[in-house]
Amino acid sequence: MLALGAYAFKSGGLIILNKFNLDRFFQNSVLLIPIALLAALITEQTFVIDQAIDLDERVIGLLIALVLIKKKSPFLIIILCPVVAVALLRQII
Amino acid sequence: MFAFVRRCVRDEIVMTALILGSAIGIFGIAFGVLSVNTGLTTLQTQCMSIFVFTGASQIAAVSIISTGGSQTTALIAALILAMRNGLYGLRLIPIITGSLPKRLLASQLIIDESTGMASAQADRNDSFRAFWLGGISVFIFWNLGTLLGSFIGESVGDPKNLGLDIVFPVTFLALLIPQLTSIGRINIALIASFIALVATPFLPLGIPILLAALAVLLPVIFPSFKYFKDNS
Repeated sequence: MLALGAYAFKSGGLIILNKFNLDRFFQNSVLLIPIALLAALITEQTFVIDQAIDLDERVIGLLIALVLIKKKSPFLIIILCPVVAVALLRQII
Repeated sequence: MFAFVRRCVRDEIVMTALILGSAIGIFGIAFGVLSVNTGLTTLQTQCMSIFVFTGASQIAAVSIISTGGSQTTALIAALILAMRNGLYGLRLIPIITGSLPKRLLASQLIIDESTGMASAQADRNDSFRAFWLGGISVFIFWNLGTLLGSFIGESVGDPKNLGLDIVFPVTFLALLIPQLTSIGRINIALIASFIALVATPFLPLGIPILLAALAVLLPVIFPSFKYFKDNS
């Protein structure tokens, strides 16, 4: 059931809706969807635990990542530094 | 052989796909452990990873069952989380081209990570490559991870102790930043984030993220901001 439902959503968006000739405004909005969803995912995964807002060491990890992304560091560095920082902070706290 | 490896290391898309895949693999292990401890067999867990292949939905379904929830509740929660993949599919229409069987196969790989990687690329060929490489890498690592996890059972620790949960928001941030090319787009990201934050305490898991997609309607309210290069 879950497999069928999950797949229906995935292919539904990609294939079935492709059949319709969608207007320009709609097409433009669609291009912006990942921006909104990525921002929402980041927010949920950094500031929320169990449906409550919770600011902890993850925020520091994300800030480190933001600086590294702005400095155009290699992807590996962008990922590893926050992981190490968060792991260390969790050991200390 | 060495030339091939060197080329892969220099290729940002390949590296992103591999790093993302490995992180997912570790969470796959955690999911496998959770799943067998909830009472699912290794085979059931593995079928879920292959056919459902949407980490958040799988984790939600299994956690609900493990905390005593009914199968119906688990199914509904997991489907709500899976809905956003439909929105991703819409976004990917211009990127994933090819025959119908090829697109049906691609559908299964539509998840946060593959869509994020595809959208972060500047040109269409890179987007196409990023989608497939990201999707396949995550698929392989996630499945290997859940398989390993369902074998080793409880003996593994919490991946959070190693700070691994931060990999996901950081990756999404790295995929998001290159797309914030105009003030209008930055505002969409901020509003989406705000919607998610405000809705989270009141609505079940997954719904706030879907609601946040409403932020793409910002051009209707403020058409004066710049959203695209040609300001359309």
